[in-house]
Amino acid sequence: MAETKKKPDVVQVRNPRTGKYVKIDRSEGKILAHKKSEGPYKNVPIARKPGGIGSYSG
Amino acid sequence: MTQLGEPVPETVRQIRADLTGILQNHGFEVVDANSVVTGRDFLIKIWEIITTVLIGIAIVHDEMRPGTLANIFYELGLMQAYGKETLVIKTSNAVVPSDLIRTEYVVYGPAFETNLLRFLHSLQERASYYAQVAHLLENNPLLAIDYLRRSYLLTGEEELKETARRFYLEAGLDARARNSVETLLASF
Repeated sequence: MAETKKKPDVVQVRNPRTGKYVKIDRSEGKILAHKKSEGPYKNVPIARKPGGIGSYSG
Repeated sequence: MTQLGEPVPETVRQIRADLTGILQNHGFEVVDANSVVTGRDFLIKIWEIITTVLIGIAIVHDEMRPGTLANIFYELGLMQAYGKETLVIKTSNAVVPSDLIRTEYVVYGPAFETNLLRFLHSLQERASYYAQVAHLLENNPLLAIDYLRRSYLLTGEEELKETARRFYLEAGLDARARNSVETLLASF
């Protein structure tokens, strides 16, 4: 029987301190990588901004 | 963080006066080692100040003694290790050690106030980023709480403490000892 793997829930956000994007695996709760070059990662959704501090709803 | 013992270079006095004025106009309380009298060990006082303040600002001048600079950069490094935001204000000839090359600095000059205000405004953006990352890392509660703490240090938003408490409880960490790393982390 084929094993089914849960698709990782990976998003990216821009770190305002470095200006570079950070890739985060939400399901694992892990920071996966910091982009070295300018611009976002390809094919990785950018997490939307929260409405206010502490009010991010996913 | 700067030279407090005499003789303080005139430029440093001027920077401190300008910096204090700008920060107070924007609602910040300025604290240095001379603002607090504990009657106890001086280094412990420095550590206590470092752990309680939101942002560390170092003022360096090219005429400062090596020992003074060593103290300033020690304190700056300690603040960075605690995840606090830091800024170096330097005169144009002052040299920043290579380990701190990535630490932001503002040169004291005609654009001083503009650049300082730009830094202060960027702190709000960083606080939002830390809060956002905390929520993205919710499945890793300790890391998420650490990001909430960083955001709280910049904003003082009570909601961030409540969110940290929720993450803590949802992760079942409330069974840990009161002096456990987890409980201490979540009780900012």
